[in-house]
Amino acid sequence: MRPLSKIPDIRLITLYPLAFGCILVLLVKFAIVDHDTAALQRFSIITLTLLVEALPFLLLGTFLSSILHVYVSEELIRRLIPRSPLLAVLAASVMGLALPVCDCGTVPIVRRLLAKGAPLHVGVTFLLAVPMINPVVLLSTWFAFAQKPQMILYRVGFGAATAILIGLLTSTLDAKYEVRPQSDDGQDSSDVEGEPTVLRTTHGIGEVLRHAGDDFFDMGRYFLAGVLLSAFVQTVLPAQSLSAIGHDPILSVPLMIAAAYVLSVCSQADAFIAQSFLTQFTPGAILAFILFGPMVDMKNTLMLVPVFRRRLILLLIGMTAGCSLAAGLWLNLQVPPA
Amino acid sequence: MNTRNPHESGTRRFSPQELLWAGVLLAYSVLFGYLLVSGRIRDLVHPRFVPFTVMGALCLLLLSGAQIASAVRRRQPRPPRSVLALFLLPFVAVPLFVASSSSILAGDANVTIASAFSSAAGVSGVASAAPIPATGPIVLNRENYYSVYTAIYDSPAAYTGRRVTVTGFVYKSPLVQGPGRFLTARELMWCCAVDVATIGFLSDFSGGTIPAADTWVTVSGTLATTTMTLPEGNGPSTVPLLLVDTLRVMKSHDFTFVYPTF
Repeated sequence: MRPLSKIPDIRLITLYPLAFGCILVLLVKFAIVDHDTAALQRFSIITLTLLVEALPFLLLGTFLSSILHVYVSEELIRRLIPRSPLLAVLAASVMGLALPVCDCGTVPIVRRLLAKGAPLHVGVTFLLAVPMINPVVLLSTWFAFAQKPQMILYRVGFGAATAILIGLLTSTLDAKYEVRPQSDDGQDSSDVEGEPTVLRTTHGIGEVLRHAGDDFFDMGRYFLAGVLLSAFVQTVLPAQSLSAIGHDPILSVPLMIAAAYVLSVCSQADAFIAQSFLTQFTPGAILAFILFGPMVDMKNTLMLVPVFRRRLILLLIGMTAGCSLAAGLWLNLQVPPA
Repeated sequence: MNTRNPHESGTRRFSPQELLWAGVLLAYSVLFGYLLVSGRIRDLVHPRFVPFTVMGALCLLLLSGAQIASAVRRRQPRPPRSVLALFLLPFVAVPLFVASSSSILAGDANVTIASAFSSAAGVSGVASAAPIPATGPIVLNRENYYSVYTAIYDSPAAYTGRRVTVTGFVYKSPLVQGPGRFLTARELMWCCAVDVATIGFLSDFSGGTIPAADTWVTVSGTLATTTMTLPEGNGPSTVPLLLVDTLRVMKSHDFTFVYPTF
């Protein structure tokens, strides 16, 4: 099991200073300058919280991805995916109903799907829709917003529309220029195009474990860097700064989008956090929070680095933020905050 | 069926580097195991996440076993040491967490105190039916805390005159003004430590000395109501007020967090 590349590429060169820099800044600022051990403990609690909350889903994603790699052939995937981009993205947008994983789990699966020959628009739609349109998330949203059921409809409606719209837009892009080849990172050279990968018996289980380990080590480093960065920002930025403009019908929306990005909370639980913000923020801001967070956050942005080229990652963040912003502002226009 | 495993063609000999990676996986598994066994997992996430943590620990254990097998069976390319260091970096947080107490989280939750007063109304549909007996004293405990708290905040007038006994820590803030006033507080965890908020009963102990902030106390008294202007509200709101006649300082408490049940 394995193999990370021997020579760190540019992504790793920027990743490590980022992660180690966070720790260093915290130690210097809080331990040496401010003598504020409480802040360091807060950092440790947030780090471990994000780790405990999201790592099991990353592992689930890597196992599903490995099962996909070992037991599902490229041919089968190509046969199952509709040729029409519209039908393909529609199908991808509801796949979460059968695969209830959060954003950390979807990234390894999307990477494997793309490596197996799935079109880019299917991968992107899957990536954006599955963390939101799945039974666990829908149920948690239902519980959290029991007295505001329209929020569930808004979340599903706008979430699916955003994923489908962005999926269709990416169908016009050439995957060759947007997706990183797996071998680019010393990954999965065994997954050679055209070579059958369907295995059975115990050897297949061994292969699943080997690939799951590979995926975990490969995605895990970006995941961990994202966790550390998110914990760092939450430690350094005071929470009070968020609520100062919470009732502004316009500014509150981008503010909560930014908060969702930084907090990097699991999509299976973000509805409860959003619910606790109800009295402090406008409804549009709350909607933007539960729309944007599951699709894009600080942690999964870094996890996308080994999957997509930088241009597509920026495009995804921009378009998702734009759609969430539009939905949030629209809602604030419909329901003026008290 | 044609399968090719490039690693199997490599020289079969022991690889210490691979064993290091197995150690990393094992360390994460042990960390999850420690959190589960010690119960400190509940300081980080809502109990509904515990099954996922168990699953994660088992997956990590499985992967570390496979990694050990891989170390003795195949020779692998060496991963960069910097990657290994990145995986070990989160463990820096562990000693700090072990040494931390819930008061750290309570301190963080200060800013949400205002919303805590009104949050009960927002989720009353979520909480199960309040197990408040029609007559007799109301005692809040681990099992019923959230539902009783929610019911009382939803209809403060309905419980006026009832005896209440509740345990919490002394919480003082500019919002809780007036001599003898404090909050008998608890920490509410919606999903994880990131969203912990302080909730509790506004208490009036004009007849005695209020212990220092963060001291755990058990108070008994009679429910009344008062009006407060909350920062996020639309004018004064009616909230319950506990007129405390008995206050006991506690050396320990049976539970720290209140978890809404869904």
